[in-house]
Amino acid sequence: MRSTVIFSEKATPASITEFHDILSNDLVSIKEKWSFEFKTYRLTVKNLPQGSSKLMHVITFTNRDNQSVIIKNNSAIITSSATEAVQSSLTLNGCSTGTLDTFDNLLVSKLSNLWTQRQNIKGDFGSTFKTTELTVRATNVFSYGGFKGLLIELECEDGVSDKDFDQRVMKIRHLLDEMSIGEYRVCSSSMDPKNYNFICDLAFQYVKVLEV
Amino acid sequence: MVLQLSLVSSIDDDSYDLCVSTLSNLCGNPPIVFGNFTAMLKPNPAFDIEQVNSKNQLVEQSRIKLSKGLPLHEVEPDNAKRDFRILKKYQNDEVEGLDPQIMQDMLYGSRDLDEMEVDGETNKGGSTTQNAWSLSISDIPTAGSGRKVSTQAITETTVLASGGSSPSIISFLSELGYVLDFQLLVLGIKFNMNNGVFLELSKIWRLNDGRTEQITKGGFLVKAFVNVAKSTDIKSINLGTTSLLALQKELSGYVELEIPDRKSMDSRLENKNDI
Repeated sequence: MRSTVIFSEKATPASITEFHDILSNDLVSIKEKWSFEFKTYRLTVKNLPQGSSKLMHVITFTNRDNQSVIIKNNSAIITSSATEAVQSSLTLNGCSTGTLDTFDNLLVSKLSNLWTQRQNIKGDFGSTFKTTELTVRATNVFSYGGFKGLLIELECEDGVSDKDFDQRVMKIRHLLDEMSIGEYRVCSSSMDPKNYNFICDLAFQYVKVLEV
Repeated sequence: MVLQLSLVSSIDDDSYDLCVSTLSNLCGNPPIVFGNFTAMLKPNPAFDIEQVNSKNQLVEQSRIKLSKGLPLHEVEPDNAKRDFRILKKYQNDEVEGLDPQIMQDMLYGSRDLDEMEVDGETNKGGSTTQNAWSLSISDIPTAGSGRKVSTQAITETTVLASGGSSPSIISFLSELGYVLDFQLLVLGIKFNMNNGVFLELSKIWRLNDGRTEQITKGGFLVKAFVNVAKSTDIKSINLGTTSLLALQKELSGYVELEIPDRKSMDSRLENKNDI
């Protein structure tokens, strides 16, 4: 499975309807609503070596079992608050008490001397379109109530070759070019090209398009 | 955040058999064998870390506890034989049947975890279970002279997997600002007593440069505890306290359950020199 994330800052709140309209010729079905949350944390340590990154991102996908991906530089971890199967094995081994907090909560309550929250970007109640070639998720993005732009997430099924996927993404991009949303940022890269990890790569693409 | 109410004690190696049979009779069930590997991490000493956060609140530096279950089939491949008796062979520094390298590989992610899934029985759930870590930070237990049990708040989250081009859990935590402090290995048995009380008898080793050194030589750590999911749930806290005290009374004269020293339960960084 591969993914691509597109973000347009120039879009208007109505662009998502326009996008739906131009996509409607290829639509197979309209699926569930979805949302995501994108938080940026900044390391407060002052004596870091020059040029080292201070930002860490926490991206939560409510439509993917509420999993969160936390990314800093080249490393990422995946956490989730709904993990019954995993949890029972950890609880049996005496590792876990069975009551979980989110990673965000841990950062805010216990590590706030190291990490400060800088930014909170949200996409709520987005649409999911299934076309013959791709699953397209689109949502308007807000930051503290202010409109930020239009975000589109493209996902293909297993077994589609990289080349085919890239072509399908290009088709969507041509559609977007017809719309009046101006420039947009696209990211299809993987954190580790030798080793695809779908959800980590997806989160990485969010970081690339949303973080200016 | 979970509240853990606890009482501790210890027994010597020779009392183990009798203790197990007494406790089994008391709770009505045989104990479960468990094992875990724990890595304690501390804030990177090279960092100049503020004592206060952006809201000017004092935040003390705490250690992070990272732990996961041990592949017990490496200790005893035969499932039927994996009962409380296997702990009797662990009276020394060596942990027979467990290669300390496994722990290092789990931390640094160089081991092919699928290889470890030989024993289908213990590894149901596939690789997600194998890669998952529990990550927690504990507060110092609540102070006060009138306390009957130790009360400690623990903030915990589960790491399902790690990824990226440097995919080990350790490399992520070093990005988070934490480095390895010390590592422990625990093998023990657990009784599920009545009223939500768990009782553990365990042997603990410290892992150092691939060598293991037993801290509990000559005996076992005994820990009775109750986890309360909500710190505001006074009813459950009182119930848990009552259950623990009932167990304390029941075992009194045999295993003396006591409140652990607050300071030894403190995971803050500054505390290390005091113990």
